Amino acid sequence: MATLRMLSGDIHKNLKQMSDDADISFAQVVFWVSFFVNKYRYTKAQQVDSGAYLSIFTEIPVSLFAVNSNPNEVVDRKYSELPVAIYDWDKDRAIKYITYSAFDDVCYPNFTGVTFMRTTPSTSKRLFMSPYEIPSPKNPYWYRVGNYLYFLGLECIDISSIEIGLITPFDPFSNCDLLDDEMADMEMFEYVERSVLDLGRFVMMLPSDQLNDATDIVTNQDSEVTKQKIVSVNQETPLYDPNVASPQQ
Amino acid sequence: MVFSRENMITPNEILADVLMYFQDESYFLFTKGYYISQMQQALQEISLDTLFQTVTKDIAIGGRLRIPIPEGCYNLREIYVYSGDGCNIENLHNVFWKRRYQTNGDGNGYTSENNEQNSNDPFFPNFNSDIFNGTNNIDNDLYYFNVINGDIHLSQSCVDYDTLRVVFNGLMTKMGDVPSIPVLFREAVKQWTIVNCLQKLRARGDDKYKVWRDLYKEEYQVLTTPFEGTWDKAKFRAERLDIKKLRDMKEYLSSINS
Repeated sequence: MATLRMLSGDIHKNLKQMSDDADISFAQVVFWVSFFVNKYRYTKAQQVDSGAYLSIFTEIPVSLFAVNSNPNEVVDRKYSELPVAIYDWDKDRAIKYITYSAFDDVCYPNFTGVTFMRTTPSTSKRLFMSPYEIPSPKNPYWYRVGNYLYFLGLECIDISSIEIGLITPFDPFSNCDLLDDEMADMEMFEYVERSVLDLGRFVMMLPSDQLNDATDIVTNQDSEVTKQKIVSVNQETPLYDPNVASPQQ
Repeated sequence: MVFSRENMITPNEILADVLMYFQDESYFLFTKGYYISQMQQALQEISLDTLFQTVTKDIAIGGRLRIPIPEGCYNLREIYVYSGDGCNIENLHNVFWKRRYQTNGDGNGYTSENNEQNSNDPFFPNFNSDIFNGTNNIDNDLYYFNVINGDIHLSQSCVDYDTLRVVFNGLMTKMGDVPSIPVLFREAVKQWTIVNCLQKLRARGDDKYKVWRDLYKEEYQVLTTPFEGTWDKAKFRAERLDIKKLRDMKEYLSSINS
């Protein structure tokens, strides 16, 4: 299975062939690749119901701030810190679930326990108007403030930790080895490679008289700055279309 | 139709279907409490529509002539006064409704358009006062009541009794309690919940507005179609006479010895 190193290496080679004296490092290509991998995953993970991008974090501690510290750190409010960066989707949907175990016998996994529901500081007042929705240990809520997840309904009980399921971005520099088979979704290679090459070409778009063509002849035509091909603004390449088979398939 | 308490279903069973319908297992559209609140409201409405639930409540009179209506009561069926408690019922009397009767609950006296003090009233006739104030030995037992602003106003004669028994139609589930749903109302409660949630989603006007709008139309139709809709079906089931009662009624109305 292709790895990030293989994909990046292929693109790096292509770019070097196109412009052999360009100073493009392998790390830079890896960064570009991760950039487009994330863009692809950001779109695709919203369109498909897949566990491919789900990361489960267990034993995330629930804490209390000792003192107020602006912004976002409020004393006496239970919170957990997001363990990793997540996509910023509408309604914080990158947080797939937050649970704590409420079973006396622990035959079932933690995520089948009590599920936290999402609220926001500005809308949570309504919850207290219905006896069925009042925050309680059996009916807990969370709201996100920056990198913190605050909880409503846990005020009267002690919970040491929770489990969180998150849709996480692809981070090649901290999360995975270049040789890992992290990039299992082969169907994105075509999009990523094309996008990185396009980006590379754009970056290296130089006046033609500065190209290394091994001649000293300067003409008026050569000295003109290369212009980008004009395309329709409506022509947008879809990132992910489940109905269209990838050329690699 | 009757139902067994053993056949009550929990909100979770309906919730499982409703969450599947909305694909909202993560509670991003509504909170769990909101769904259960809709179920409670459905039961409440079906109780009001069908007089389905009958409740009996014994209340100690304790010398009071004004007694608050029991919680959940919306339709009085029977009222009695008796001596003793629920285990030993003695001196039972029906209590009848008297129009515009009102007492302050303590002491003696009352007001009512039709009363024993009427004399030469142009519309209401004169009555023998002994009948009303209980001084006549024959008519000493005039037991009547009226309901004003959530209080049952009892006549003076009732104060001599220990207990007031009120039989009434109640709301199926008290607000805030977890509803237990009779199995014959299952589909109606589920449909009610779906329709009300779709109504809220439609009102949000988000990018799926047209989806919610079309679904709302469809599901509202399924809920409210006369005779065939789930709501009407539930009402018919609730109001249908049991076969046993029906057959006995036929016997009563026919010549049994023939």
